[in-house]
Amino acid sequence: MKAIAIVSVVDIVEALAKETLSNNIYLMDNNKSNGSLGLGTDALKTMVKKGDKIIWTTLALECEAFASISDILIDKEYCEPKEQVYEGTDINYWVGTMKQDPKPGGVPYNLRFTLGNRVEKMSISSPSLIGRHS
Amino acid sequence: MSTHINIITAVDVVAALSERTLYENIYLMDNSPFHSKGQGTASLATSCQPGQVIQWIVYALDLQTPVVIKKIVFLGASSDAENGAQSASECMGSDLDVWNGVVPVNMIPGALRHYRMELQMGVGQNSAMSVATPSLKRV
Amino acid sequence: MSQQHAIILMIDIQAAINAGTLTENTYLIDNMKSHGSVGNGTANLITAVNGAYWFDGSQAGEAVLNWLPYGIGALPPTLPRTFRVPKSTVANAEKINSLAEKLKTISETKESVSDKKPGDQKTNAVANIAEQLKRIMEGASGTCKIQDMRGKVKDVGLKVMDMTGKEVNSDNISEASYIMPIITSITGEAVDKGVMFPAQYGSPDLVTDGWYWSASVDTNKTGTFAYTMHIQIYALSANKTWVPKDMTYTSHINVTHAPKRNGFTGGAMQALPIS
Repeated sequence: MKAIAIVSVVDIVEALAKETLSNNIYLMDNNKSNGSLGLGTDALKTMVKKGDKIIWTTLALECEAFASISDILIDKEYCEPKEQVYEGTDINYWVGTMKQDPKPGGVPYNLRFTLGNRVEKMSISSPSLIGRHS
Repeated sequence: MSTHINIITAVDVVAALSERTLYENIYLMDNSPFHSKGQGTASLATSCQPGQVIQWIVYALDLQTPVVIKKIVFLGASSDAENGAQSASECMGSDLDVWNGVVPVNMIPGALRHYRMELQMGVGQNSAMSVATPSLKRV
Repeated sequence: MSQQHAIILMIDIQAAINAGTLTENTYLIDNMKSHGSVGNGTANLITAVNGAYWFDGSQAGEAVLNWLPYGIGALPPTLPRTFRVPKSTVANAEKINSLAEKLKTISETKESVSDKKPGDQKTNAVANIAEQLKRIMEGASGTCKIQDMRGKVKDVGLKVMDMTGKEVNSDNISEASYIMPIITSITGEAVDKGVMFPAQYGSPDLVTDGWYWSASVDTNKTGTFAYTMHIQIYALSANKTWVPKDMTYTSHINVTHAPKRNGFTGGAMQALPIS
């Protein structure tokens, strides 16, 4: 059982100006040594297995701008991430445990963000969770 | 008498891009010796006299987001005519452009001459936005 | 007009400690992607520094670089600096309450068992509680320490936390979140050739813990130059001591410059185009 951190760095200005998170978000995790792929891109494939605890956090490239994950949409058969708040702060993170090993081809998920003052959320659906055989 | 007037524009870039409008997210100030009206708003009316040099400078409130003035065009006496040279740089707008000029002698005193200032923040479909409410006023 | 360049380094701290190097464990991101930076999100970033000069050749405007090192597997830098402190106090209070509850149980157990079975049950109950007390005390006194470069160890008085902000004990120490990496100095070709002038500055912005490295650039020196960052990351030892490890990482800047010109005329300043 491992605690895996997935960090997303959002280039908010580019994302808002171009109206897309594609190519304007950089996803990284701490499991490359076990097989994660695509680190530093918007199509991160995180290597996980049953029982691993996954923690999603986010950071804005402009350190004073606001970015937070508002939702994570993923097949509930594999993981059900829940939003939590760091005690005494208004900074959130999402945490979920893998219920089973990912299927071949991986389990894609959709990350939805609240950026700046923008009312509509922006999302990215290219990251996924992969298993040994993917 | 000061011969140089600076018009400083502070932009909350993230707010402007989030709300897709510069209005409410932009603050203009000048150091005119003739007490301009509308300091700190998008409707600054800079009081000036012929022969003075006016310089426009823009800053992003978060200090690190690249923001440049893409174009400043004085709105003509007739409602839809825009006169004035297009920015000589490519359409993207560049921080190589220095936006300054001398107040001309043939400016009518007392009348507000509005101008449209277009700013470029980042690159992309939402990145260029403008305000048309600031003006110059010959005193 | 000055342009601030933000360069973020994301370091996979655990992997860097295991491999003994930052190579292949570091990703760089800057805020000039649309202005010419190449390699954002990869190990090899070339940051575009676009300068300008006046008609007499003097530099127009400043280009300033700011570096922010972060760790994958560390708590987010946006958390308040005091995050580790109040929580520790709360955790201690919880432990004391837990202790009080246990003591209450001991006295109740003593009474109920009384003379029925003088040996087994009473001893087991007390031994069980003593074992739990021992675990509580271990947790309560387990504040982390930091070892400095000379080997001296100092108690920081803060708890070790996992990525969710919960305390970590000796049995789940592998889940501990890392301390943020620190840049200790910047050297290399760009510094030697007088292209960049780095220094550490105090910052009111607590995201970077109050300190950050910044450099101004002489944009008259055009070309691509390498620079090396000296970075300190901390590994957690089994006895909850953070031990520093020094590593280096090299990146590049690409300096260009172009002449300033008037926005209205494309050339020299003239009368404003007001009809």
